[in-house]
Amino acid sequence: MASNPNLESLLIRIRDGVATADEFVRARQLVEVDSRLPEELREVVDFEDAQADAVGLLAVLGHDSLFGEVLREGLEAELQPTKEPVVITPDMLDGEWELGAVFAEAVRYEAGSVELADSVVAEVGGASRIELGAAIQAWAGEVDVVGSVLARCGLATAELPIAAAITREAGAVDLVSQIESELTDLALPLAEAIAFEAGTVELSDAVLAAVGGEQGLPIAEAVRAEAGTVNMWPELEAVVSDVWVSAMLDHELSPVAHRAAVLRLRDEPEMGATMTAFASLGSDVRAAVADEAGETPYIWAAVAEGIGVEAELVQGWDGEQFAAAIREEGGSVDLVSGVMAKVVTPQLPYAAVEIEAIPASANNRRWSLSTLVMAAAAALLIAVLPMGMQETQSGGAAVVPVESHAEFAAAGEIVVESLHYHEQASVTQTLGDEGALIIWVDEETTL
Amino acid sequence: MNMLMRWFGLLVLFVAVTLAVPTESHAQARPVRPGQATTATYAPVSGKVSIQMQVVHANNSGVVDPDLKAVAANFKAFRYTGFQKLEGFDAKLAPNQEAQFSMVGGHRIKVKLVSRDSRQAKVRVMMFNESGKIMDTTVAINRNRAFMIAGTSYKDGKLILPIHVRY
Repeated sequence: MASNPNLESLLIRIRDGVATADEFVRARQLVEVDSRLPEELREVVDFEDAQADAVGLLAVLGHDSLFGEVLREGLEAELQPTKEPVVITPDMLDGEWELGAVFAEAVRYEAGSVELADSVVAEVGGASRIELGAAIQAWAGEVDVVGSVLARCGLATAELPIAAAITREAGAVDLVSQIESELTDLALPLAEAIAFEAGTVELSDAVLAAVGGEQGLPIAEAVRAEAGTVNMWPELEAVVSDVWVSAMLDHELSPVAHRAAVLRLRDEPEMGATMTAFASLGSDVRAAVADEAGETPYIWAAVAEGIGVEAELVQGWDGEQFAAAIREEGGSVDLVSGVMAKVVTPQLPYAAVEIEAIPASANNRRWSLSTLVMAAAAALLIAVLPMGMQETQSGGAAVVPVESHAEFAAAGEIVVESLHYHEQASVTQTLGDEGALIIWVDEETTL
Repeated sequence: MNMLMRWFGLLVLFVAVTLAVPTESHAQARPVRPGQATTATYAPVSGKVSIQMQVVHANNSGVVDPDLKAVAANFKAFRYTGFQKLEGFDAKLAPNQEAQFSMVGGHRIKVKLVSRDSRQAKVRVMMFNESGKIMDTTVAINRNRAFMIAGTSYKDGKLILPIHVRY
């Protein structure tokens, strides 16, 4: 049957509470056959709550908004403090209306990597609609799912800033993995230090957004700013500083790390003095031995050879020439005390500093009093031992037992992800007869 | 008022579903949540990784060090007749830790464990001579496998550095 022009007027009279019993009967009959209404709706509308049904039907028919006066009054009446609050229980959310899943998914979507849905759902049990909105606002910060719904009802609540939300979540929100991904270029155990300090905390996208994708120090500052009580930077500096100094001496710090190291040194003048003392130690030893033993060219290189440090860094070193010169000039003169008195200064540590984060290398290049003694002893030995002494292995590194059996990676078991080399060298990848990967370094290439 | 609540519920459901469906552009910006892997991943493993490096002198002496017989077949490509093991180094590294070795010929090798999981390790190897760094490579290699760096001249021969990653 076609639409009935009288249905709307009957519904208006019912909505307004002025309809007669005959009009109720007529309205029910018209609803049952009105093709504008969904069939399911026609079957369930029984006018048991006549005014509410009339409002709903008028909205469906496009005659009135669902927020008609009656509905608005009804909502306001429901929300009056003196009234019993409308309780949205987990059963209601997950059962009859399936709103639980809808809200959870919406919150998950809006929250991104920050897991909020479980917290929200846990909080809404026994909460009123207003409390529900506040709970979601509190947990989600900028997330505004229910806020959107309530805003359409004129019931919007203020957003909480993301910093407060992260602070609220600080125990469960996790900072590690994304900081690690941001700092992979640092040749330092910084990411591991962060993991150690922060445990399972994970940085939210909001924090990364706050730092604008910058790396290094801004992240620490952003973590301070956003996370409030989480302040791991001093601990990180304490963990990595010694490593930074070592890497800094090797000129291997990334620009960000170099900047941090410079800042650290600026704040600790004593460390700068120690580094300066280390840097001048070679020349001090050379000068002191020369003073004691006369003119002895290349003495530093020989000392370096004796103690296993990088003799190759000394240009023009000739160990044999040095040894001959020492033997000729020095004879059996004891040089140790004189050299030690001149090179040991208050700035030099009197014991080796153990750095737990770094495993002991096969050849420790760091100076200590003991290595200084070794240096002097090496010079002394070279001076007094008879000619014909056998050549020692360079580098002073002991040969440690290493299992000779090696199963070389076949194709598919190894990937060269990056390969860089100096412009005066040629480096190529090739495969051995058994399929093993060989990275061939030819330093004699002249380009 | 039950009917009123039902109407209200239908409305909220409609709005919530509408908000929960992301637009295309918004969906593209949606961050990957922790644990929402996009590619195959392997379980993390604990403990340190042993990076073992040997220094082998390839020469034409015709003598193969008995210690190297197990791996000498892999040295055929070098076209030398003799192979002598000179040094061996072993460093136990956790991720982001590094170690360095000075070896014969005045070269220095720095090795860093970048990462590792249950299947493979990512290792960065840098070689230095007296002028500074001459080579810097990062390889992802299956656990308990080895590869070689070679080519450095030493005493009428070349140095071969088998590097084994064990854990």
